[in-house]
Amino acid sequence: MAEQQVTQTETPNNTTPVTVPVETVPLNTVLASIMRDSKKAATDYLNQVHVRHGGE
Amino acid sequence: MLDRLAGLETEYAIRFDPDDPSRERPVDYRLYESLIAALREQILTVSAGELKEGVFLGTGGAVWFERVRFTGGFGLVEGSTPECRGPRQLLQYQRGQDELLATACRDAKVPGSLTLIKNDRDSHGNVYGAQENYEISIGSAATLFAWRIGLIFLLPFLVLAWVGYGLIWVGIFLYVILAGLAYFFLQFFLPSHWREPVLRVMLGEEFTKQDPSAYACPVPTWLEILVPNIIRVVTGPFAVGLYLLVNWTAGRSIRRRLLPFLVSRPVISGAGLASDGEFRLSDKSDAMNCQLGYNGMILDRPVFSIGHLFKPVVFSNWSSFREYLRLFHPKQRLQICIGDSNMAEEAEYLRIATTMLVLDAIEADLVPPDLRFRRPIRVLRDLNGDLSFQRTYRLADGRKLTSVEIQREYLRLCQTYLNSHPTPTAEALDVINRWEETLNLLQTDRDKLVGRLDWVTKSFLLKQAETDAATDVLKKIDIRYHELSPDGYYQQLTSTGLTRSILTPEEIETAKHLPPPNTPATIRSRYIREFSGENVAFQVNWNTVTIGRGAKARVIDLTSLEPVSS
Repeated sequence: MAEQQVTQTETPNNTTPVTVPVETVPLNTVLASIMRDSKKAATDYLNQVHVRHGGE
Repeated sequence: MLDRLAGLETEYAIRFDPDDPSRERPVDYRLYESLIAALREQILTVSAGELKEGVFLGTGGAVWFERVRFTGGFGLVEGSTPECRGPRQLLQYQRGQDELLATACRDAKVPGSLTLIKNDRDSHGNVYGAQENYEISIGSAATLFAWRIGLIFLLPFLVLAWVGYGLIWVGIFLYVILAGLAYFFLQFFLPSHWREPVLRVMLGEEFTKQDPSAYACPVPTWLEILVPNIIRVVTGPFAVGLYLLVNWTAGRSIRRRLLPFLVSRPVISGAGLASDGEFRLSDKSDAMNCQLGYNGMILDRPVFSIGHLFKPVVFSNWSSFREYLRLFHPKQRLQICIGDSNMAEEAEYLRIATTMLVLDAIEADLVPPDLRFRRPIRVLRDLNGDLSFQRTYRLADGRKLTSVEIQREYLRLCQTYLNSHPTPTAEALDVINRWEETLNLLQTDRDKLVGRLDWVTKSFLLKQAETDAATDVLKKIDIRYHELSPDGYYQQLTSTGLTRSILTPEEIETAKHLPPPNTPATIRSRYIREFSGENVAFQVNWNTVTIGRGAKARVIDLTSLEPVSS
């Protein structure tokens, strides 16, 4: 997956995306950060998101 | 075209990371209270006059505390968008709601970090999530006639339910008085160490707690379990009758012709699920166990819920008869429970936009009735694990199609619908183009959908983990992907430019403060802004606004007023 240096925002009700250059963080940096975080206290994190009776 | 009223309901799981791990975690209800207090700093709110606890917002939307039981104070935060017209507007208000709640979490005065998770399943397998609501026509003149006649025949059962429900509350009232009196005399004969447990069993932990600010269940736990079951019994005849009537009449044709589309829709809008070493398209699909039901009242998880037709009619006390009369209207709300909560804007947009377009095509009678599965729930589960899109599923007309081919069939019918329309809207044409492009990419170059579809993006993230990564690590990636905070994994990916936005920041900002134009929410919002600061009794719900009390109260029916601009 190549890193992209743009993000795309589209104008209302159009069909043609408008490409707007913005400051971005390199994808590999973010992925490395996510992978590091995912290993940190994973079980504790899962226990912090416990919906005991479920919902609708 | 694409202009029917629609709304989204999203249940967010509450995550709390305490500053001091040795301290007891506040119960979900207390966290919800802190969140609402912070929300009030951002936007005008009024307490909701509804069946559950919540507030209506100045935008016309609402935020609720969704709980199954009082005991333990467990629950979810639920956000309801205002009624919108068109998929882009609906997306706009869903994103506005997400941002309002995320900011409220950040600002909430709690002893730790409070965040919301916009997904459908926790690591223990408990299911919650999203529901979609679309206004539909009941059906043909004959169907509408049968529906109305059926409603008249159901009235005696409904009266029975009202009487039974009323008697239950009288019974609870009498019980509390008698139990209080009994305990008053009993305490003189009880050993001191027995008094607290006996009082807790008779009247609930509210009467025994040491810390007045601590959360306590306001009724005895046994009574809280018993009462819903008695209510199920007394309302059962009406519930069964209404189920059969809806099943045979109201919206039957639409539901049947919509179902294969919904069953195959996770290929586009599935959120993805890491489950026991396997990856699945949707985190909610596997939980579905029936086509039509009350959504949890009897452990049912239906594709289409009718709880929204049942609850207001039975449980609204003095307004119940008015809610019953509302059922005679030729347009009703179709509630779909099968969809996942999306993080990717394009996936969320396609989920609601393609559904609205298919509903338009069905109501134009362009979707044939034999486009259906014989066993749709089984297909739903099989399809959920089918990531290759090579497996075929047999339709009632004998054809065997893959999941993507089923979507293409609906795409073709919607294109026919647009071609038959004299003036198709630009948004509808855009939806068709996006839908077609997405299906093409799913079959030819799936990597290009990373950042655009949730299940593709989540699958991409999970592949970055080490091959021997622990199950909990993979599950954390699965769940934290949905966290509404700068630490959430999807939100982190937005900083890389990998994701694609549909809305402008200005559109989302508008949706955080103003109601959508030309819907009941516009009028609700106007009354909220006008009366919430006044010193008058003021009550808001989805269908009405009540100003004043008693016989002099003025009830404004939001559904019968002419649409106005905000």
